[in-house]
Amino acid sequence: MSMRFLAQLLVVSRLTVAGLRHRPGASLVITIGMACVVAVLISMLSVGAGMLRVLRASADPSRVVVLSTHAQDEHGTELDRGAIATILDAPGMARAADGRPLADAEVLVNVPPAPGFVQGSLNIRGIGPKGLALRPELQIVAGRVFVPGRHELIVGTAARHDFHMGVGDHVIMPDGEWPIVGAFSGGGVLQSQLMTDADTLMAAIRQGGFGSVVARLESPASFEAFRRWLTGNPVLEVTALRQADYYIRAGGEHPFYETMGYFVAGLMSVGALLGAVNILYTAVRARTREIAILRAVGYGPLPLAISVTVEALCLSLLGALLGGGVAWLVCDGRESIGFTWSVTPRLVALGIAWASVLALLGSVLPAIRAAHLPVSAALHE
Amino acid sequence: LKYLLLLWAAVWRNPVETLLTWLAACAAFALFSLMVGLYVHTRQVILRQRMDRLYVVMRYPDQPYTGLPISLAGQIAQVKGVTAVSAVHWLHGYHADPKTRISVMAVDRSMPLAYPELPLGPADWQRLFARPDAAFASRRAAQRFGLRPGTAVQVTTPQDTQADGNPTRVFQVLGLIDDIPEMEQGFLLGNHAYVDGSEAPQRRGLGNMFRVATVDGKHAATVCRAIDERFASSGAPTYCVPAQADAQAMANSNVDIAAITLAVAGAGLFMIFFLIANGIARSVSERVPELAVLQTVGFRPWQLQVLVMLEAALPCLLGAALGTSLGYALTRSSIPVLTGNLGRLLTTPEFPPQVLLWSAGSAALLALGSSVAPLRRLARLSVVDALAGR
Repeated sequence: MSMRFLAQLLVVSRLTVAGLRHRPGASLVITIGMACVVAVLISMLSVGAGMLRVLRASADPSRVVVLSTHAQDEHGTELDRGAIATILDAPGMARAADGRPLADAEVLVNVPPAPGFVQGSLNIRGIGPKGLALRPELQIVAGRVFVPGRHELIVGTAARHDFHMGVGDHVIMPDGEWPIVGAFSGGGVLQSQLMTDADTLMAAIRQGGFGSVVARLESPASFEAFRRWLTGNPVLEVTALRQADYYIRAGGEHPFYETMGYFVAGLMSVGALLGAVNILYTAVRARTREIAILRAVGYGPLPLAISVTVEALCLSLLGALLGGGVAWLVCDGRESIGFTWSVTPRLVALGIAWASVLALLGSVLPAIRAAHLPVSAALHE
Repeated sequence: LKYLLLLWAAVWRNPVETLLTWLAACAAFALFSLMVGLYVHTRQVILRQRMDRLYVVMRYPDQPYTGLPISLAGQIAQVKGVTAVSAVHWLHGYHADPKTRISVMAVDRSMPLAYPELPLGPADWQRLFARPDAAFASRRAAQRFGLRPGTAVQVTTPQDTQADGNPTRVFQVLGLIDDIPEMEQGFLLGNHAYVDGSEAPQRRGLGNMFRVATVDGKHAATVCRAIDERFASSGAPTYCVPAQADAQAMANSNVDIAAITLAVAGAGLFMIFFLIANGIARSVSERVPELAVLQTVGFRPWQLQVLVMLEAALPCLLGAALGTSLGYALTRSSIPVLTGNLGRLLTTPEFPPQVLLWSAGSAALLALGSSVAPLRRLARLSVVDALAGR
């Protein structure tokens, strides 16, 4: 690429950018169009990103979830105590101070919130003696931990917020009302749940089996041997999943919001793209004489064509930043049941890339037109 | 005619730009109609449900002996405000191929009173309860499974086998009935006595839910509370919810879809507003001398204003018409992106006619908004200066 070409490109691009202030209306069309597309794209994707962030925060690379092969998630009762004892013999599990495996048989129960008809349902998790030790990220932030054997619950901060429950409130259970004696934070999706002693919960709901075994491995590398031992054991019908994989599989409405985000932004992009092509055509038309003069004094067609793309890119980037800013202001931290919307840097980068691609596509035809303007005819305009 | 010619000439001054504007408006209105359609449909689904119709299900559905004792119906009927109670046993399985999911709502003889909105006449109810394996298929279900009156339909439920271990029940379709909003994918209506009688002895006498009718919707919460309190300390605690409240909770289970759809629809229109407004403003600005000439030869200012407004209205109305048609076509298409949950939401069996009103109204507002700046410019038009090229 010759210096002459670069110099011409620089001059023409500067001329183009300087000319934008003379066409505020047209410039605004591209900027607002891209801002709308990017704002909608990022906003929709921020829902899925928020869900994923909670799911990821719930997972630890060295934690695994063992489920019955018949179960989709932890809302099951297929693991009896015999199966639990066998699972606890699996190799590769970390050990607690007492020398026993750092693993916990758990049960998860859906309970409608009461009173009134509010959105969502309460999940009550019954945990065993190792349930809290397995999850050092859990912190009691109010009250105290439940006492095993007693009808007591602790509530996660998200559940406390979503269902307006606090320490001292009661939850209707099959054998009466259980008090909430404490509140905890940390643990991702667990924060949307209540916890209690597994055996007490199972007695209350007259349930004999567990839904899952959550275990901590000596290291994430122990997973394959652990999984093979369990799935190869003829007395067990179980699957083992890394906790992250389990949460993604079990918790995911995020693909829906991703699909919706891309679909909606895609359709809007068609409108924004056509609008950009329209505006850039108009800009080329408005600059016909300027382009002809530049060509007449020796400027090549390529720098002139690229200057159209530069114009589109400048306006689109401005729009992307505007859209990203609006999405961040409106959506980031917005609360839904169990998660908050999250406008991540990755989403902003995606928005900028999306707008840039639209700018490049939209500028192709106007750039070709600029490059092929007949000089003599244009000078006569 | 002279107006039409002037309008035509104004619109086709820059054919490429005009076409691009129309197409952009078309895309924006396609998105608008899809989003508004989704919004209207979601609202309709909720509002069509009634507060005076209650669902009563198990409060703790994870118990091993799943199923709600049908014998509770008598006690529920005694609760003040309840007018009828009917037990429902849902059979969820597949038809012919495990991938072809099918559900049968098996109901008892009280259902005509507890859920009179079901589209069966007295003669149909009699026929349903006269034959154990009788079934009625909704039109959508009939279309999906290729059913017609007189055909037999096999429903295989591996998790809910019969007393002899056979997981497949056969129903005889007696007739087709209209669909109902709460079961958009269609449904089959069966005879509870047949389903219950075919269960293993230990599973007989159990259902999945009760449909309860009450005297009015105002006291639905009180009736529900009374039902739940009655069974709170029993072996089968219940959870009662009015049908409308349940639909509302389902619609907003994670995020408020209705609010999102309106926001997206608005963003699409906002985007296109700038494009159209800019196009009209530029068009008027470039035609100032021409407009001055028209005024000189006798056109009144208001006539020129109408001309500008029509020029603004054309891409809006045309975009709305084509875009809404495209939106409708998309809801009937089978493109890959519309095959998942999103597809199920967007490709709803009905395209609410209110979408047409929303689109037309928005197009009119868009045209009005787009022509504000050019009209102000026209109002300040000095014929002498314009003709002099100043």
